Amino acid sequence: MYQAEPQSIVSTLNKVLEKLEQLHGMLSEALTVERRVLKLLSEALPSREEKLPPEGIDVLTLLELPDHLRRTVMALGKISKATAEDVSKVTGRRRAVESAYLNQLAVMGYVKRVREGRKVYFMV
Amino acid sequence: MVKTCAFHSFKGGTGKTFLAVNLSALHAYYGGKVCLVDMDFRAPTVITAFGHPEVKYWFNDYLNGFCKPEEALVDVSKQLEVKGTLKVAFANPSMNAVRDMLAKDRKWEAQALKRLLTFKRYLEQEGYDSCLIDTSPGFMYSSINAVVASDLAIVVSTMDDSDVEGTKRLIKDLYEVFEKKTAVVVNKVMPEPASLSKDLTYVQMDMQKLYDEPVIGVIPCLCDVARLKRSQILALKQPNHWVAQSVKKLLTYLIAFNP
Repeated sequence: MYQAEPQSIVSTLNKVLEKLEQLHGMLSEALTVERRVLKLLSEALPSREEKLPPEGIDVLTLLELPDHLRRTVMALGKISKATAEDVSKVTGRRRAVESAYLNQLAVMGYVKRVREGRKVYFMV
Repeated sequence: MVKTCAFHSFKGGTGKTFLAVNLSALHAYYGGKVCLVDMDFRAPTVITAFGHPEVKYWFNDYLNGFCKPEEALVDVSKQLEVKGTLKVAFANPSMNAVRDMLAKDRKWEAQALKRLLTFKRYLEQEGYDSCLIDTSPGFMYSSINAVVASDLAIVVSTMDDSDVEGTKRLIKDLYEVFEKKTAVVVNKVMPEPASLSKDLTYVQMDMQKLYDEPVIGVIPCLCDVARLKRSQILALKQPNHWVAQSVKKLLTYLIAFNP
């Protein structure tokens, strides 16, 4: 039965440790670069909340909106800060439907979208 | 829950301010906690009905973001000697203020709508029973803001053909689009004095045929009302008067109304 000499085992383990340290160094460097890229991106591209006009929506724009989106905005206006589920309780439509309409309105810049923990809130 | 009700009309001079003032005063007389808001920024006259009290902040100031909701309210309960509370947000009647409000752009109006909704939430928190908003006639920006922020739109019309036609257009093009609960009040009806009650009932039935929305009141045009000064609130001064009784019926509707 083959039995390695204790000295050769130590030498192999040292080589493995050396490789691992090299790998750790490379990963740390990659992480630093990724953080720098993310920081630069966040500076170059403002968040959805920051892109929104602060004035909200006016009644003539409301009149121009298609009926289904107008109903969502009107419901949101009644309850101020709300989740898609809160809005769905007012309109009587499904949560997923309201979520899609609210996100559409947020992209259009008519409602504000804020994430708080796991929940997403919308505001007029 | 605060019931918000906008008084609107297609044409001017239909009696929106008269009804809003009398209805709010009567509600406060019966113990309600009421807020009356003057949003007729083109021709503010609510202040005349209350004898020009001292005003620190106008409702214009609130919409411009210069004060808090409570700072724009003037308590007139003691002056009227009512059991409940009546606080009024007055519109600034000065020419400069009227000119300023007429020059507002779309961006400002969007901000004003937001502030109006915040004002409504403040009234809700403070436990108000009702908020009555007097508006400018026609498709004015501020009036549409008031209608959007309200739970009920009461459109005041006369029996004039052009007014009836315009009222129908308002209902179809504005209230229906915003899915607003709407009620019609026909004012300045001229019946035969000898058969006032009977005539008013027939008029209400006839007018109801013209509108899909409920006609909740028919108010006669009587000379002694025209002779009254604006600063005399008829519903409180002469509670047995025909017109005061009609206002009382409107109050019953408002109290029973469920937003």
